[in-house]
Amino acid sequence: MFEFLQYLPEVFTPWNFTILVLGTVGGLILGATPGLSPTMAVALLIPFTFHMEPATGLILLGAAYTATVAGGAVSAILLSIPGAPANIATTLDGNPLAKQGKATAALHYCFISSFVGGVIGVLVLIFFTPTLSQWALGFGPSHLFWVAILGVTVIGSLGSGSVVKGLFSGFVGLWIATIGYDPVQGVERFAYSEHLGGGINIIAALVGLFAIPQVLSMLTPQMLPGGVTKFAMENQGILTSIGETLARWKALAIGSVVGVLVGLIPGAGGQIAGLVAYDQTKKMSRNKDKFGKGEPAGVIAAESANNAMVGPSLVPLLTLSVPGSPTAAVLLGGLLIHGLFPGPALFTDHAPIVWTFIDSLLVGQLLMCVFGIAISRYSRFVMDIPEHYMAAAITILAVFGTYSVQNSFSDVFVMMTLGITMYFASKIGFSPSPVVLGIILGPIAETNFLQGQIIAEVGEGVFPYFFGGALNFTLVSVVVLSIVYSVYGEYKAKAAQKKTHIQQEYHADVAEKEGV
Amino acid sequence: MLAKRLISIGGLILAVLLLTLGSNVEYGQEAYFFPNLIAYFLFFFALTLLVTEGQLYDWLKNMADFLWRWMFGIVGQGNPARWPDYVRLIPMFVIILGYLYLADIVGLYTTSFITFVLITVVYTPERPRSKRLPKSLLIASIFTAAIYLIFSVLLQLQSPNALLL
Repeated sequence: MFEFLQYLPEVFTPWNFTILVLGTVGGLILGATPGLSPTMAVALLIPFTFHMEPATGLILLGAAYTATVAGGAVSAILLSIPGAPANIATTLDGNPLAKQGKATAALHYCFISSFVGGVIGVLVLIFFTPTLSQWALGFGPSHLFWVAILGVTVIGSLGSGSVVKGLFSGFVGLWIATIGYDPVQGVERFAYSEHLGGGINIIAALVGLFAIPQVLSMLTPQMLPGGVTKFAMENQGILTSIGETLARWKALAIGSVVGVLVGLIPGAGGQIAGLVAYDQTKKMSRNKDKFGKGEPAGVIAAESANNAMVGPSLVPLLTLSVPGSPTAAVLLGGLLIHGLFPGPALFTDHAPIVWTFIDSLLVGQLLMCVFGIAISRYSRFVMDIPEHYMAAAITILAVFGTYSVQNSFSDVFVMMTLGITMYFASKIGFSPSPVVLGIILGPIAETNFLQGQIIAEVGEGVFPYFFGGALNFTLVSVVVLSIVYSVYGEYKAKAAQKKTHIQQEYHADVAEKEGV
Repeated sequence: MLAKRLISIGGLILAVLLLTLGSNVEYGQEAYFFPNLIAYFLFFFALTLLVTEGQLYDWLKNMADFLWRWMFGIVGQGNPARWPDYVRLIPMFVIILGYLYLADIVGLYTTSFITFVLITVVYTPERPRSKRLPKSLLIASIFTAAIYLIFSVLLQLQSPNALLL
């Protein structure tokens, strides 16, 4: 239970701690930059970790994940542009607070509540993961196949605007993963170009699908709305901010609990955590009318929730390979390139690496809070970086990052092709997360499917093997339920939209008649 | 609605194409079972999209209308994307193509430097562009030096043999 204490000193070795500090500060800066999402920041950093020890590499990715989510609040508060989807709810009260001349206070609330939520989230990760991973020890090929499919369907159906489009994207990812050599027979498939000979490299896919569409979006009509107001930073003592944050303990508690619960649900992500926590805090508050006009409890609830989500989103990832958020899906790629396969054996075969990584997340929360508060007064400078400079820098980093993995220009071509295709696909409503997850989970799904097929052919037959037994039945049911639930949610949202539209038309008609 | 139909038709075409690719193989037919299975699912999802998102009534008429508008760049309701975005991105695509083509001939760091300068000068919102060139050159030099330090010195990256660095 307390194995994490045994590996805590590993976080404080000079090299690991330096990387943790660099990852945290870099993550805060990247998060504060509008347009750079945590998912893209982690994807861009993965090639760097390729040259590091596995534990050190994961420390960098974990620190960047935590810090970018918190850093995204800076542009949400100062510019009313969420640095990441997870910070959407923060803009609702954060920006009005800044307009009232309380920008520093709002940033302090944000980092303090992110720290509290983040620590609670990592503690859940520490105490839940080994138990779940012990349970996952009984998984055979058929179960692992369904778990991989579950990962794709969950991200595809919950993490996208349209269920069918999400599932389509996820299965395109699964298909892309089959390019290259077949894992059982060694036959080369779909390698029509020399660049595809070795299959699709995960890092090339990650960087291309997340970074390039964002670069191209930066260069199309202005992302920043014209005439954005930037605020002067007032002086506010840190002790006052701590006192004011803790005084709103209810918002802090609601945010943390909601964040933990949403994080544990695969595919839900930080934006859902932030918005649900904000909504619940507003409903339970005595000052409902103050929300949206600069209520600190709104910022505290949203930020504690989106950081409390980070730790729990790694629970299904580390135990079952099912990521809790799109960024966790990218982190899965980071684990795989270091030869760490999430699942039952992870905590037994690679215990030092995994526990050092988890411990670094705990220490990272404190660093994020300290550095976040320290740099909040300079945060305006980060947001002044023009977008065309950001686009140029990200393009070159993406090329170097991809090339450095195997010293191969084929990977760079694949990265660019996937990225440009994804840009056009995103314009018609497709999102990169399901594709990436399909590419990452594809080999796991195919290998287990083929192994299961071989076992089934000498035994009970393919259908009973893949659909029989309580665990298979449960997993298939969860796959179906996740799709049905999402379809129902989409149907409800569309019905509500239609109703609002009809009401608007009716009111417009009435107004027109009265005018006449 | 029309755009959604086009997307689902595109999906159907993609699924059929993938199935064709996975079926006409010389040897190792069994190795194509899993990708073909996925292609069947893709076909199913595209078909679902077509049935759920689009009413097939007036399909051909709308399709012809859409193609007419799209071909002549008339931006209007029903077009999946705005025409000017792509026009604005054409220079970027040319820069990327040039970058990838020349990187292992001229040199990875040299082409990166040139790419940085080109992107920042072409996409600067300020006019005249030539005024921003010295600033772009300075920032590109600092950025390329930082990249060199990180990749060549720290990470010992083997850059491709080329005419320049």
